[in-house]
Amino acid sequence: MIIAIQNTIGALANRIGIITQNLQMWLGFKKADVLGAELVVNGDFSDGSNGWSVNSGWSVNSEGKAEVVSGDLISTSSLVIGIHYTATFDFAIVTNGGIASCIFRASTSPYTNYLVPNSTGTYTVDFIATTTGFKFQTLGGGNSNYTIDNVTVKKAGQFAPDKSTNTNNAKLFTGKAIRFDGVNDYIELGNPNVNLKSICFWVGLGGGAVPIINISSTHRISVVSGVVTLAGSWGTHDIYVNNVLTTALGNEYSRVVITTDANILVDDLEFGRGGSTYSLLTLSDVQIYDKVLRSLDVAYDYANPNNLLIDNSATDATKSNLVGYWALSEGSGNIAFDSAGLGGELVTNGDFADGSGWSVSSSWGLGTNKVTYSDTTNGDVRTLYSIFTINKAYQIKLTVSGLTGSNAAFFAIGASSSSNLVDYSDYANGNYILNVIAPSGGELRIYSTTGSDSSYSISNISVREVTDNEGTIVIPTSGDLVGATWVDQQPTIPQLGMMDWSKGSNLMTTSEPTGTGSYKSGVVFQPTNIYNWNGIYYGDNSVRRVAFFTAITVVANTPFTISVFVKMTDGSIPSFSNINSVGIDFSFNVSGTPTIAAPIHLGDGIYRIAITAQGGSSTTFNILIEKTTSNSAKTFEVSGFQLEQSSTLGSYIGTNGLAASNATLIQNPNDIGKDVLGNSLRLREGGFNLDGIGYGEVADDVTLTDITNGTIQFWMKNSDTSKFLLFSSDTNHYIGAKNVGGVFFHSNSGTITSVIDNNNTVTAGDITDGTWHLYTFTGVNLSAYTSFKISDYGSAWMNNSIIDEVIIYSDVLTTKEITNNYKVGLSKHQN
Amino acid sequence: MQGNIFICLNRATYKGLIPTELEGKYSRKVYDEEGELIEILPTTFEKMASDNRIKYGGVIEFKIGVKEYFVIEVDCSWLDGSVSALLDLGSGLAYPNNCLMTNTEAIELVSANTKDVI
Repeated sequence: MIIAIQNTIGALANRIGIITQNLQMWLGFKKADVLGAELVVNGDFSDGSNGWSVNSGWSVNSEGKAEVVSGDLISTSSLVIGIHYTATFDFAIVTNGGIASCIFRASTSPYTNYLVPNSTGTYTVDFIATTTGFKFQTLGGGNSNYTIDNVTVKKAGQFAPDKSTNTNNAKLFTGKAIRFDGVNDYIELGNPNVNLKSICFWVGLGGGAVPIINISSTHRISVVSGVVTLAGSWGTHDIYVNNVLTTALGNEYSRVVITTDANILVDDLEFGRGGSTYSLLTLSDVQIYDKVLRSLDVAYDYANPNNLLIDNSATDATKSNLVGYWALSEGSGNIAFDSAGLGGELVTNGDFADGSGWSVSSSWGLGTNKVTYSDTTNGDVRTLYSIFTINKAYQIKLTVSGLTGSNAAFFAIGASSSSNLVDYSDYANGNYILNVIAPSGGELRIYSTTGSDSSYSISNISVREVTDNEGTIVIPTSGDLVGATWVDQQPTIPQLGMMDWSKGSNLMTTSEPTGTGSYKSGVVFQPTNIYNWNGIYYGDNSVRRVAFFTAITVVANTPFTISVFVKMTDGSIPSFSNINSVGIDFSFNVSGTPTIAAPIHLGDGIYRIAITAQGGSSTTFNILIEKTTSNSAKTFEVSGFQLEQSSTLGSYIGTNGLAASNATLIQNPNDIGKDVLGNSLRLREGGFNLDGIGYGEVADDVTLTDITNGTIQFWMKNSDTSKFLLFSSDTNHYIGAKNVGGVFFHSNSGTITSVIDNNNTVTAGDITDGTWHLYTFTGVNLSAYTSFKISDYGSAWMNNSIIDEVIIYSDVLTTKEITNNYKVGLSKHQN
Repeated sequence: MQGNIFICLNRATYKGLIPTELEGKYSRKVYDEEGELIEILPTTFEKMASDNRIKYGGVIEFKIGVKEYFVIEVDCSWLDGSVSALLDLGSGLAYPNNCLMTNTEAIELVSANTKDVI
């Protein structure tokens, strides 16, 4: 019955719609446009010279294009100095009298040149306005005719479109990136051992001829004099900048996509450095595909920066083609996580540095960094340890080289002795990539039969799990930051506000043991079964065993939470306490009287356990997991240590030498709804998913500043009890400041009336209950606002909740109208 | 994280101990199992740079003639005297010996004295 009533309300809402009378702005946050509204009046010259100041050298010809002999073509459209714009226009040569060109430039001094077209074509340029106007200025010295047409200039960035008629679009500043200082910063990603056919990244240049991404000892992507430059052999390749086939790269954020038909092995991946040269630039959202992307993929990627191109139903690329995905969205810590969803390397000696870990039959021989088969007898090479779990997905890679004789002898890749995953009866030298479902458990086996004088070698063997399994995760490959600096509040690049994400803080500088710490008798450092992260193993011999993980520092007299992942060898639920006692498995020994939460089962016998304590005056102490003779005689593994300055347990975030604060991870495409560490995402539910760092901004406009007694209405889903501020122009003009208690504060000179949902009075419980509510502020005065910011009070009091359907009216809504809008929005904002 | 200043150290200084003004922030320390500070160890610039590599970036090594130089990044303040202490290291020495630099100046020095292979 409840559902039926709800559906009825929803159906009614769809018919009645929200109040549109006196509507000045309506941000639905359904999507974000990559460019702002069109700023050029009559850019296609369909209305003659309207919108242009045309001197005697220019005229609108019979084809409706601006044709020139000499002089300036000046737009009357107005720009804002210092703002980033993207312009496009068609340039066509009619008669080339020697100098057939013009300059697209600032209209007044200083005459900054934005672009100089030199042949017929469509041109795109990103520029920072140095004056409020722009023009096309002819170049002297020739006797040429050419035309200009279809001129567009739009603000660059991502914009939540205004659904009213006023184009009060909100520019989004919720992107994160990593910045390299050009001296000694880089990210070391090692040897991902993936095959590159396409690579995509956002880059903002800082100057100089610098490497952007190092691929291997021979392959590198650099920028030299504003031109994307490739080192190494890239075969037939295409370079796109902002969805245009060009190598020209400006200083503003640009999306670069490079495709190649060459087989490029990524085995020395670095961001921000190549060889001994360091880069001065900013980088975000690096994706590597083992497939040549098509132009439709490039177009979708550019137009939908908050989505993966594999989300496009028209693409033939799949998530298995995404072999590297460094969103660089963390914003803190020193790990750049690969969110592609492939697990850690399962082969410990895949390059055959020696024979360890392998069983090599007599028909194979161990060579230098390879095993070689010669046509003598059937035989195999297999790992000495189990790799596969039945029915799980894996990606297997290897290299075949040195083939001599015929290729009649096949080789097979199998799991255990008899379950071949794939058979090859006609093969050649080259790199092989297989995506398989393991038909059985067991070791990796490469098997070859006798052929006609055939001989070949196998090397670079890799097996990684495709983490497409609900509730389980494996070790993520990651890159270590060396000095590079996170930057946030970035426009243009992928916007976290329009994505689902998880957020975690870990004040432990190293969340996984390194093997160099202090381990007492009976405690052993080892890679654990817990997601294959490094961890420590506690034996069951009857001695006191303590693993001192590290000294930690907390804020005095403030709550903190410690958590770890635990897997008991016998599969039981961990029994733990704060102090040693008979029967429990282990203890933490945190001072005071901490609160112990029930273990959270994550699957596969892995539990996350947490303990929360109220900090005292002592701020520095050691974190330890203790097991004494009084504890139970069970063995277990521990990993994933996390310390949070919070009374609640948050998402896990790994660290490796540097603490992380409010680090955000995006979705692992192979584990929908979770990040690559297995944390559940906070879904944006069609709203603006603010993380307490980013914000949105609507530019100054009379449709807003004319409001002296209006209404702001919005939906919000909030569980954050800390103070925040929702809307502001500057520190003197704000509304919706949540400080203490349940009421909102404001700077309005008049009276603000705040109601929630269907005309109810706001209470504290309504605000932080983590469910959707409609809020209405009436009596709003925006006349002194120079911009309308969402969650930016001088980079303070940032909001950490989801906001949706932000609507502004120039009048005060009646209670009946509030009820109407509440019913309209209710179906979308279900809790 | 990012430091706020660069310094190009000659070999002798790089291998030598850091000034006392930097010890509070950068010296190596020994704690007991209860987290109590036991000892402050003598720390060289080389060790300091190694300890802070993740925060500030790697050490850039190059030669001018036969002389070795090491560019490192640090976070220092005038208020605690650490910037003054670093300035004093270069007193009376020729550029780039123990010379403090901005980011732009460090880029110019490093790029002028390092060569790439690709």
